[in-house]
Amino acid sequence: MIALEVKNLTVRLVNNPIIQNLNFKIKEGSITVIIGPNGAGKTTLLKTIIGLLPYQGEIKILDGEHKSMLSSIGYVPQVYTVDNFLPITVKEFLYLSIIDDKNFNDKIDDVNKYVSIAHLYDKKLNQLSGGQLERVLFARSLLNNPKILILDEPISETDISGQEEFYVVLKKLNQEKNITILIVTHELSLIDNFASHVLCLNHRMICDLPAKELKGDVLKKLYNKDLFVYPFNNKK
Amino acid sequence: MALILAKALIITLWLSVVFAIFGIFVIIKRMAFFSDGIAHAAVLGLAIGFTMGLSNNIIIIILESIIFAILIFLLEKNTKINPDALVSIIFVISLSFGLIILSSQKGYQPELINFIIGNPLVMSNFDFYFILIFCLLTLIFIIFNFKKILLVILDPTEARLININSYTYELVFYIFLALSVVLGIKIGGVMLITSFLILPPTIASFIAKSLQDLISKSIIIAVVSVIVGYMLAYLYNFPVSASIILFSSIIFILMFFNKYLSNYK
Ligand SMILES: Nc1ncnc2c1ncn2[C@@H]1O[C@H](COP(=O)(O)OP(=O)(O)OP(=O)(O)O)[C@@H](O)[C@H]1O
Ligand SMILES: [Mg+2]
Repeated sequence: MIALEVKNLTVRLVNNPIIQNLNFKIKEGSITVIIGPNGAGKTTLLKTIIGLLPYQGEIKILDGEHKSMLSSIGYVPQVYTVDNFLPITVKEFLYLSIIDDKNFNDKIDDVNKYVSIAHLYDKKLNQLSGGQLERVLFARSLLNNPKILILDEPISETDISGQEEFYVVLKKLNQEKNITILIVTHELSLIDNFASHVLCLNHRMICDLPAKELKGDVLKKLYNKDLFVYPFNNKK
Repeated sequence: MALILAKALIITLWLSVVFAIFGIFVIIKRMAFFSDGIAHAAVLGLAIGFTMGLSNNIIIIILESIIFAILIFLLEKNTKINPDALVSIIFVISLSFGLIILSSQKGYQPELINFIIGNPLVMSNFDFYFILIFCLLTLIFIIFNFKKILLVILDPTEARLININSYTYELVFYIFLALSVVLGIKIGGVMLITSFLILPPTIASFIAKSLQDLISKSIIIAVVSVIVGYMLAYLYNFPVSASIILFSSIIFILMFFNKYLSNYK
């Protein structure tokens, strides 16, 4: 089955076409990485997919109509501004996002098996470190059993051990729960052993490839520069 | 006399509980000025009611506040005018219009003064029951929708993803807030009513360990302030609203110093 299908998608912000005529499909159960330079429109694309921005073209989620399928998506934004006034705890914060209140404790326990956050439950949201907040936001995106996870640079502030853990968990979620994953990252070195697919975006689609086939010349075209990023530089 | 006092106290307590909770949303969404604006704009409703010789101008004021809440909401969503500027424009237009209408009437002054500083001791039976029922409905609305309203205000993106209709919830919140504010004018007056919204949650946030804790402490602070405020007013013949706010302001100042100065010890 196709998890996400995008046809002739154009998105304008203040009349500037940020995304132009995009076409792609993402298979259910795949792990797709989106790469591209700063300002390429990656965040804009993700926001459009989760229904925040008006667009021209067509978006289908799990073969259903776009707006009606949004609740099958779990989303982690690139930036999250925490309210300084509100003394809400992590557990309460997670509670706000639960659609069906009844089994709240079971649900967070289940999420906790994948992303350990129990040690943060009683901390206040506005007293978390950057990496801790990322962990909480990732956990939150899993609360309502999403079929598709959409992650926008979800671990830019997470330490190295946390990053490794994050990728292991993603793989596990992908394999055990068959969750389709779409992730924006600048960590090119991870594409090779982690992703099944890679999309290169710079306002238009520059590449749409199985992860193994990403090569130096594509990156050169995408970033307009010779890059020395392992392992792509020696794969001509 | 005792009956009047009891009625006034009951209404003030009910309203201040509603305010203690609504205030949390108002602070997060930075809507203190919205509340101030709606309160000032209500002078127009007062003037119209007075001119028409209505004994219950509360109905006109309520209609007016609903219209303004919807108007501000729609303009905020559909234009690029800064929300503060928007509130400010709507409020000065209706305030000045209201004052001109009033000045053409005889004997408006006592009514206007009660309206400006608030006087829960002057209240018709109709107003009493009306506000009582309104507070009850509002509390029921808040209890059943607290989680959704908070998420819509705190994180509209997430609210949208989990299928909450943010647009409707936000609009309904604007209307309920505007209604509470204009009904609250009876107790706090145009000038002081917004502090009933802002002070209890702000004080509570200094000591709250969680959201639940914030809600209960905000309510406790509001209730204690009302009771002490009434005692001060009774003992020293102060205006009721000013006594309540003065008392909570003192708690605020003490808590504030306790919190920020203890960092330097
Ligand atoms: N609200 C907005 N109004 C107008 N233009 C915007 C807005 N948000 C983003 N843009 C513009 O759209 C373009 C794409 O932004 P976007 O955030 O999608 O980039 P990105 O690929 O996610 O970049 P990064 O790697 O830095 O996160 C940028 O040129 C940006 O200036
Ligand atoms: Mg981005």
